[in-house]
Amino acid sequence: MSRGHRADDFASRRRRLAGMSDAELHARFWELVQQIVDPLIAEARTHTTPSIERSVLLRMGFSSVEAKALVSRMHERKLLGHGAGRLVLELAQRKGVSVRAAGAALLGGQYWEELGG
Amino acid sequence: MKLTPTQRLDLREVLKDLDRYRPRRKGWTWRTKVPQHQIGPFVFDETSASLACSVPLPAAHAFGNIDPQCDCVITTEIASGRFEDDLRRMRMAAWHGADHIMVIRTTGQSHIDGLLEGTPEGVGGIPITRKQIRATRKALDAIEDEVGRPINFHSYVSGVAGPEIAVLFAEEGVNGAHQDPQYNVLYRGINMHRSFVDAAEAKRIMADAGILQLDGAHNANATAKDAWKVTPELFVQHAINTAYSRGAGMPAELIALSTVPPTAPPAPKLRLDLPFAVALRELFCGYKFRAQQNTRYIEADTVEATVTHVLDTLLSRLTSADIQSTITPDEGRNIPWHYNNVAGVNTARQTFMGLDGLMQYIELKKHGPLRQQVRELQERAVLFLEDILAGGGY
Repeated sequence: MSRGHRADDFASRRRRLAGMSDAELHARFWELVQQIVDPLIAEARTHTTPSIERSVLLRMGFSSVEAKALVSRMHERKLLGHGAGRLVLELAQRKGVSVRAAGAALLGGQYWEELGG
Repeated sequence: MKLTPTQRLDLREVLKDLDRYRPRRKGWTWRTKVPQHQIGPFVFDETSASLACSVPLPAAHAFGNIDPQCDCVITTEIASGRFEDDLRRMRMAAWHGADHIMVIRTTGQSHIDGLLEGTPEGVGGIPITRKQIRATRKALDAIEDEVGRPINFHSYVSGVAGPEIAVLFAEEGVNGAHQDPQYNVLYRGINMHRSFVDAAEAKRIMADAGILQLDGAHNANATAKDAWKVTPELFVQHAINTAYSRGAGMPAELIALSTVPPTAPPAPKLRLDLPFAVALRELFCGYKFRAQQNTRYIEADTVEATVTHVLDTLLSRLTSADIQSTITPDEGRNIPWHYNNVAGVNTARQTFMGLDGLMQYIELKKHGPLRQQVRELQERAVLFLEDILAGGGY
């Protein structure tokens, strides 16, 4: 037996599945899949990525070039966990300006010290 | 923009006022099925509404130039690498019966961390940008008016910029997309955590826009050393993406499994591929099936490729297919020529028309080797899942 191969144990391992109906086997399949996927979904619920944050800024009306620059600078300052869109929106509300104006100001180097953190 | 059948597509017209063009609909469109469809001297069982403008199969002149359209969506993959060529090829394919236009992305776009802009050329596909897909959607809107059937526009939400691409596609009226984080993990060496977190967001955006999702299991088939040995793993890959999509909020009707009959002659193809196809459709009852033709064993001989693809399409009819994807018969040797998009589409529709109503005459056996093989494949998939959990999970 070469490295990377293992003995074929299908016949012995399938014995405990043999008594299941097709419907029971299918249910077992999906039950196991759910166990595998649950932690992945849990991680997605509690984490973000640069692309997710850029996608929010795109929907807020920023161009891809602007979104990339904003998220990149927020990432450098470890601010992404607050949400890029939220940071820009709350800044706009505090300053009484539009979201676009708030984002433009950040791109111009203003107000970074006032962002959450 | 209005097209005239006797005139070429005018690219200047496509680009005119493009900044103000918006898609006229969002989401996927299935064909309108027409059972007991009288077309010329025949009554067809498995057809959809006929086209206003089309090019019938070559032998149609002997049957009054009838051009019956099959009941499932037909895909063609467009991959010239040149944007203008792509648009002209889409129009040809639509006239020949394709209503799912899959635009292949340029080599390496999966690794671009963000969106590309403008109209650059690509290699093996075009760089997907807002301008290119808006122009494509505009051209397809005119083409679907010309042929008289909605056309689904499709590309890829994978790589490191998935959520942004998903937003782009939702905004620009892209109707279908591949999305499977396992593609990043298995074939692109992209950070696994980031790939799955990105995917959940991308899937949610796709669901909101009604974009039909295709998974990435066809890649596992295409890259397997011995494709007929990896079928239980294919079930596992389909299942992880399917369950993850549901967890991210995608409804079942937007989840399509990208499945390929794994083998090709001289292997005993139907004896191997039929149990796999049946087992898959049983396990994933309630989801959609995008049946792709085989690419793993396609060589430089276009006739050999076509015979394999006819057998693949036969398997679709023996089981089921919501979408029949076609592969150009020259894909194994070069970037496909325009004509071979048409040849691939014709292979599928010629086969489907020839098989019309077949399952009223035959049925798959409920006892014997077919059922034994189906059961074994499903048991092996369950044992594979148990191994994943025993090894610590994904």
